[in-house]
Amino acid sequence: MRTCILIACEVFQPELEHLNRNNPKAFEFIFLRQGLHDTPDLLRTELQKVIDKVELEQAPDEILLGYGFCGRGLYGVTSKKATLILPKVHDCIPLLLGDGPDIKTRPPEYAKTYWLSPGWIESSLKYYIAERDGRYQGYIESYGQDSADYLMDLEKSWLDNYNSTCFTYWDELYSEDLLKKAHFISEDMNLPCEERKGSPWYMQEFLDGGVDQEKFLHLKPGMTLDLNADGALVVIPFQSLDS
Amino acid sequence: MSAILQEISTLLQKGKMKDVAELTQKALDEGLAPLTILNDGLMPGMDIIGERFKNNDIFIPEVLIAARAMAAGTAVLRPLLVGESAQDKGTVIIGTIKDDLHDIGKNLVRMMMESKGLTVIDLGNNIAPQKYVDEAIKHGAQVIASSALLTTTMVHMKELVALVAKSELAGKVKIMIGGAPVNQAFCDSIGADIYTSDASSAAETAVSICAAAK
Repeated sequence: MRTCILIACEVFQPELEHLNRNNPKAFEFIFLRQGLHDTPDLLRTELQKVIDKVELEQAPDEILLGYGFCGRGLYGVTSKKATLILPKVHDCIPLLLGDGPDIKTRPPEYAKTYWLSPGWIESSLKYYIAERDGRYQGYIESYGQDSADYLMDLEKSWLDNYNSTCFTYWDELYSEDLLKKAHFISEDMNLPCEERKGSPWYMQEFLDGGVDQEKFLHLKPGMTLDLNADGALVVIPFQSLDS
Repeated sequence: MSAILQEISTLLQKGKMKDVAELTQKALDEGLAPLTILNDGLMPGMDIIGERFKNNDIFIPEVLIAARAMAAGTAVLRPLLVGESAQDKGTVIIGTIKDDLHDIGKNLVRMMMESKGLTVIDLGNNIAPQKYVDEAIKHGAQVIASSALLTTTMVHMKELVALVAKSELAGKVKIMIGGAPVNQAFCDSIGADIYTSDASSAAETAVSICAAAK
């Protein structure tokens, strides 16, 4: 029997654990901290470390990677013996919404929407909002009140370009508590909060092994993925990490 | 360098906006030429910031507050610098590419370029390729600089390259690209002219391009 391990961003933890509970062949999950895509080189390094460890200690036939291309953080990720399988997507949104692989251009309104899923909500509260006061205090101590205020204003300024947040959920994971948190975050961002029901089908296919290579990338040992000049995600031979 | 210029440089590096503006005015009152204050006080301070940032010795917050202090100093000098030919270092058109709203990095590049005396026309975010071309023609720019944070938007940079090649700008304007997911291989694959990996290098490169174009 083929062995399989899943390594994923913790943003997918609620959805994946939900699907795994109903999975007769439930298997081991390893989650990495959400937000590593902010520093793609760090994401690549951290993920590669875990892949190397898993290959060394458990030697699975396949490793499912619960990631998109994630700001190019997956470029250069490779394996020695296992096949790496991951959804053909740039980021987590198509998996949560059930949009399927990123083959066509995304709807333009996606660009101005800040998506909030159950996993995103928890990580926003944990990593962004909860740590913000500490960051502000640190700025005051390092640079003084005036500069600290300026830096915090800048930190929030990137949200000026968004039109709204959108709480996306699967029926099975919907709760009033989550909705309340989504509204709390949206108010903090000074954005209106919309809602949109997603679908588990794409994530389910992934968890079932991601067999369809139209929808999932299969990286044989020594291969990695990159973006070609036309914006398509493609499998390429792994060479080096210096570009 | 005189003591007051050294102090301007030091305070700029610490991001002391009000102090830099006040000292710049004081230097003028003491009879120093505006161009001397700029070239021997403000710019050396910003150059040190750029170098330290490139070497990962300091990080984005330090650069942002230093750039703000630089802008405060140059705001004092600007009315007096009008017509100074030494300030005409070149023109850059900058913006984030179509469908990409992430402009913090682009803003940092703009500030670093302005600190180096370049005229920067900031188109903002979500800029259609044709808009870069139109504005570059309108302003006689030597550089078009475009950034992306999303891998879903990078592909529009290829359209920008193709449009420039078909326009009257072909061979006259250099296209610079950057942003977290962009790299040299992507730059080569779409035929853009230059990729730089950080704001400081981008500003230095733009200055070199503009100097060579004169």
